[in-house]
Amino acid sequence: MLESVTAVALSSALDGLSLRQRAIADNIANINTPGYHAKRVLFEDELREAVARGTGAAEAIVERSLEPTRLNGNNVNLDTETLSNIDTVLRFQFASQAFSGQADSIRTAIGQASA
Amino acid sequence: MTFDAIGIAGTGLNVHRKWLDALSDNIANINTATPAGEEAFRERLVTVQAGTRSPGVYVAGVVESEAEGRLVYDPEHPYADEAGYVQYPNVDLGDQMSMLILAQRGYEANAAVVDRAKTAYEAALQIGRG
Amino acid sequence: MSGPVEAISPLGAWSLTPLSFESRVPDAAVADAAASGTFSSTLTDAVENLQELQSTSNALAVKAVTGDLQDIHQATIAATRASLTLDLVVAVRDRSVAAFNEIMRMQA
Repeated sequence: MLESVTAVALSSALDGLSLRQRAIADNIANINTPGYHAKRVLFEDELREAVARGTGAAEAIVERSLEPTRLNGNNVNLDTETLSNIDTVLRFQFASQAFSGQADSIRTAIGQASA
Repeated sequence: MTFDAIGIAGTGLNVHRKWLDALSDNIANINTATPAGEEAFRERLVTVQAGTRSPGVYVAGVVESEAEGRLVYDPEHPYADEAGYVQYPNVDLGDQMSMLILAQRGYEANAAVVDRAKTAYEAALQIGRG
Repeated sequence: MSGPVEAISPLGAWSLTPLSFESRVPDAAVADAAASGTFSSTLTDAVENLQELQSTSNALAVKAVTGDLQDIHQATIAATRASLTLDLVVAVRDRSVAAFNEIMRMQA
């Protein structure tokens, strides 16, 4: 159950967003580490293509940002990380709601009360 | 990003932070003396433009002011030339301080937008939940 | 028994004008589900549209999660619509089955 493209896509998105949360925490912790380049998690493009293909499963990849660095070689931008954090949290909340909604629909069709 | 208002306010935060950086650079160098014939410290100016293809504001560039340094008569100074003049940057502290307040207020305003937008999006996520 | 009584035509009893709430006016302005108002039309619309509402809701959810949707409320509203319509359809199914069983029991 829950093997539809939408359910698999939402599950992949939850994986990607959770990975991004960790990357953001890592970046903020290393905001003053000399030579540290911010981590970026990419999964949206892969996910979009996977949905178009009809599978919905997408792996997230982690890259290093190539943005210009400060004098100590560090390129973590606190504003960028803070806003990305807010976006990620809200999207994670939406995705988990949507995934629960998929499960609830199946339960309704079976005939049980929703949790 | 999905939550547009947050991304747009983000560009505002970036621009105001760059402005704060430039202002602090100017203020730090306000008393940087140079010998009369040489290049004086020039005021850093941040040029910004509104986004064309996407909303928000972006830094077009950081340029240096065209104004020449001002000469101050100080024959005792190690950098003084034969006439006794030393060159100081043509940076007005009063101007820099008032711009500092503008930059700070602008930064705070954008941060408030982020906060309000986040509350609004959270409300949107509550739609339909019993 | 005073005076003649007018004869009622034999088919007179059947030429009743339809009650206003039973007529479906195929006008574009009232074709909107919210305005048509009749319960039967709401039900038929619900069953026919359920599939469409669900696939719209799914598409918007994926869009929201890949960062392509600008207004998140579109996704939550679509999800609410689909969920309520599903509840309605399932309720009708359950009541119909219960009513059918009731009738079968009466005949037993």
